[in-house]
Amino acid sequence: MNIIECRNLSKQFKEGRQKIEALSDISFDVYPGQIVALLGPDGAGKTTLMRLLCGLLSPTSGSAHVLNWNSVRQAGKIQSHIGYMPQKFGLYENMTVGENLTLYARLHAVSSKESRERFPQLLEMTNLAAFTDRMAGNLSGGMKQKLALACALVSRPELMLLDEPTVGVDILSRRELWHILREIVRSEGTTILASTSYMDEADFSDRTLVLFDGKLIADSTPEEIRNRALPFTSQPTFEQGFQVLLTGSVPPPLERQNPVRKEASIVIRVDNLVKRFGSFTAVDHVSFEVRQGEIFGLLGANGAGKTTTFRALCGLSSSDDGRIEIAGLDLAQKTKSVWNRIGFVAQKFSLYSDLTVRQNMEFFGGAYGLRVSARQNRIQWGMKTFNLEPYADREAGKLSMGYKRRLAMACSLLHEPSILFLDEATSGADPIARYEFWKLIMELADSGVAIVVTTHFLDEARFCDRILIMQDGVAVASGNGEEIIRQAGNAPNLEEAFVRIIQEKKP
Amino acid sequence: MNFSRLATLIVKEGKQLLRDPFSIILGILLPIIMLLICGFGMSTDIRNIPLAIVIPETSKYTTQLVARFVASDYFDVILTHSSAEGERLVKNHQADACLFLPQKFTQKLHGGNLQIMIAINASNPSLAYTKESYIKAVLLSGLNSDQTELLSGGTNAFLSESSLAGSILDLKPRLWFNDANVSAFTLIPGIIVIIMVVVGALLTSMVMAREYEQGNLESMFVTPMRSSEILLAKMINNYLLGMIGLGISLLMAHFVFYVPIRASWYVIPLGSSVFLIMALCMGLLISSLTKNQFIAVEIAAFTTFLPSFLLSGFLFEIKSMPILLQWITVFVPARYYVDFLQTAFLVGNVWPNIIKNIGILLVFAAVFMFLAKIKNPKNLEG
Repeated sequence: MNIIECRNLSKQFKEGRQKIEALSDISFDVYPGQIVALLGPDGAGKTTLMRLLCGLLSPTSGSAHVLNWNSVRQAGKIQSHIGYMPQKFGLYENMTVGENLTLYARLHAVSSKESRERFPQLLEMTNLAAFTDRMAGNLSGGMKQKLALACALVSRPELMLLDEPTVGVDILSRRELWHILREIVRSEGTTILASTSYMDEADFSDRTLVLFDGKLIADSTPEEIRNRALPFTSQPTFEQGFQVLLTGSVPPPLERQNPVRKEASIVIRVDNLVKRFGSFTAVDHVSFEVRQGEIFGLLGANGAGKTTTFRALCGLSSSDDGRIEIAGLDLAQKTKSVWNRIGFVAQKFSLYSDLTVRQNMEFFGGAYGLRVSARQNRIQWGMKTFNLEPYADREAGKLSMGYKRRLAMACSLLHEPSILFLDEATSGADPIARYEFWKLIMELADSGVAIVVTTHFLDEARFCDRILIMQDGVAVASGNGEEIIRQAGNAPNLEEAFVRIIQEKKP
Repeated sequence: MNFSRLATLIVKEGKQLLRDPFSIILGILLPIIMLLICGFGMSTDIRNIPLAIVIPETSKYTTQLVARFVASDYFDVILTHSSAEGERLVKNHQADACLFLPQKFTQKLHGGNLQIMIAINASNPSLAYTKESYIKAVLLSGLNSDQTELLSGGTNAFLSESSLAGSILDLKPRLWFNDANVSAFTLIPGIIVIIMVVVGALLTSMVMAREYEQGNLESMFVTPMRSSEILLAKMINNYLLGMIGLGISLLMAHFVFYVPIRASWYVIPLGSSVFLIMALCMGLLISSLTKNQFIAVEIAAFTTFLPSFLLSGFLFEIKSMPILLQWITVFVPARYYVDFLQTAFLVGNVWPNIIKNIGILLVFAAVFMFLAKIKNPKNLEG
C-alpha cells in the first residue's frame, strides 16, 4: 500500500479576475517508512501541496489519496489519522508545554494511560522534559519546533506531514530535528513528508521531491540529483544539482573583480554596541568595522541578535551603549545625514505592490529628495542595471520574488548611497535567484559600495569578504572564511566551522 | 459531537481566557468603567445652564424674577444692564441663553403688555428646546402668567416664536415608569446592551480570527475535532464571561444607580442569554469570514457595536428617524434587546413585549448560528 498517491493534482487560486496556478499536474507516490523531503524555494507550492494532502484545501483537478482515503471525500478520516505540523506550528503560546501536548492527545483520543507512557518518551526525544511547565510562548524557536513535532507525534500517526519544520532556526536545531525524524522512522515505522527550502537538507532524506513554480521537476534520491552536476564539478553539492535541473548547467563560481584593498577607508565603525529589551540583552558589546567596497555578512540564527544589530546600524532603533560611526558621522547625532548615505532593503522589500515598477522608483527617488532630472537619470540606471525595463509598467505586486528583490535593490540605490544594508534578502530564494543576487552584490561592491548583509544561509558566507557570527547577542567569531575555519580548529569547511563555533558557545 | 473532545476544548478555552488579560479587561473591567462613565457622565438632564439676564432698570419685580433663576439648580446667572453685552455673552459662548427684560418692566407687567425676549444658542436644537422650556417654566411660575407674552428666539439660524396663551387648561403631566425623569434609568439598560455586544460580538470576533492568524486552527483541523466543537467551546466560555459582565451590570444598576428592576428575577438573564448567544454567533461568523483580527474588529464595530449605539433606540428615538433608517433598524437585533431591557427594568413582566422581543432575537440567533456553522468548514478554502 502506498501511503500517499497523487495523480495529476492541480490547484488554482483566484485573485481578483486572475487565476494563479499554484500547483500543476503533480503525480507522485510515497512508500511506507521513508523520509521524503519536499524541496523548493518560497512560492513553489509546498504549503499548498501539504494542505491539499490533509484535506484543508481541495484540488482544482486530479486527486490525492492519503492512507488510501480520498483527500476530498474522506478528509475527516485523513485528519484523524495523520500528524500534521503547519508552518506556524499551531501551538497555543499561553499554554504550557505539557498542556499543549495534553490538548493534542485528548483531541486525538489518546487514553490517559497511553499518554502517561507516551509523554515522557516524546519529551525525552525532543529534550523538552525540563520545560514541561514552561509556556510555549517562552520557548526558543527551535524548542517550539520540537514541541510542535511532539504534538503531531502524540497519536503515533502512520504518516507525518511537516510544513517547513526547520525554517528560521539555527543549524544545530535543524540538524537535531532531522535526527529526531530519522529516529522516529526507525523506531515507529512512521512515514514522513517534510518540506523545506534549505537545499542542504535534502541530504537528510531518502527521497527528494523538487518543486519549482508549481511543477514537480524531480523525484529521486538526493544522490541522483547531486550527481547531475558531476559533468561540471568533481564534488557536486545538492544546490549545484538543482541548478542543473533548472538551467542544465552549473554557473561559473562567483569572484570579486575588484577585491577590497587593505588601505580602503573604514565606512562603518561599531564600537561595543549594546541593546537591551527590558532585562534581556539582545546585543552584547558587539564591535566591528566595514571598509569601502567590502561585503560584510552578519550570520546567526533567528534570535541571535543580527536583526537588532542591523536596525541599530540603520538608525532605526536606538542603542543602549556603545558608538556607531557611519561614513565618518556619529549615528546617534547625525541620524538624518546618515540616512542620506545609506540604502536599506528590508526582508519584506517594502515595495508598494499596487504601484508599477517605474512608479515605485519614482516614489523612492522622490522620498530621497532627488530632483526630477537626477531622478530620471537614476531610474534609467536602475532599470538597466537590474534588467527591469521589460517590467517597467507592471505592478510591483505581480512581479516574481526575484524581480521584487531587484526592484527593492534598485529603489534603495537611487540616491547613490555609499553603504547598502540588506536584511535576509535571499531567504526562501531558489539557487538561480540567489546566484544572480550575489552576482549583482559583488558588482556593486566592486564599484566601491560597502555592503552589509544578514543571512542564515551558511554557504552564503563564502561570498562575503568578512563575516561576523552572532549567537545569543554576542559576536562569537569574525573574520574572512579562512580565519573562521581556523578559529574552529581547522574545520573541513565553513559550515562545519560554524557548527563547531555555535556548539562550543551553547550553554 | 464528542463530549470528551468538547470538554477538552472548553477547558483549553477557559485557560486561555483566564490567561489573556485583554479578555478579562473587556469582559469585566469594561462593564464597570462604562457604567460609571455613562451612568454618571452621560446624562440628558441639563444643569448649570449659563444664563445671561439683561436688566435695564432694577425694580422689585425684576429682583424677584432674577432671584428665582439664581435659586434654581438649573441656571448659573450672569447679570448685565446692557442688551449689547447680553448679546456678546451668547455669541462668545459665555452664556447659552440670554433673557432680555424690557425697559419699564413693572409698568408693562401691570399694563398687561409685557414682552420678554429669550435668545438661545441653538447649535444643538434639542438641547435648545429643553433649555427654552426650563427658562419658560421659571418665568411662568414667577410672573402672573395671563399677563405675560413671551417672545423667544435663537441666535444660530434657529428662531422659534411662541406666544403662550393664558392657562385655559391646567395640564398636570405625570411621567410613568420613570417619575423623576432620571436619564440614568433609560441609559443603563442601553449600556448593558453595549456591554453585551462588546463581549459577545467584538471579543468573540477576535478569538476565532486570532486562531486563524496564529495558525492554531490549521493544526487543530488535522485532528478528529469537528468545527462545531470548537465553535461551541468558544461560545460557552464567552457566554460565561458575558454573563459575569451582565451580573456586574445588574448589581451596579441596582446598588449604585438605584435603577429599579421591576421584572421577575429570571426575565433579564433569560432575554440577555438569547441576545448574547446571538451576538456570539455574529462574532464567530465575522471572525471566520475575515480570518484576520484587525478586520474582524473593524467589521464587528461597524456591524454590531455602532448600530447598537445609534440605531437601537437607546440614544435616539427610532420613531423620529427618517423612514429609511427606521427600516434599517428592523434588522438591528439590539433594537429588540433595548426595548426588552427598558421594559423589564422599568415596567415589569409585560409578557407580550417579552415574548415578541425574545422571539425575534431567537430568530436572529438561529440565522447567525446557521451561518457561523456553514462558514466554518474544516478547511482553509476561501
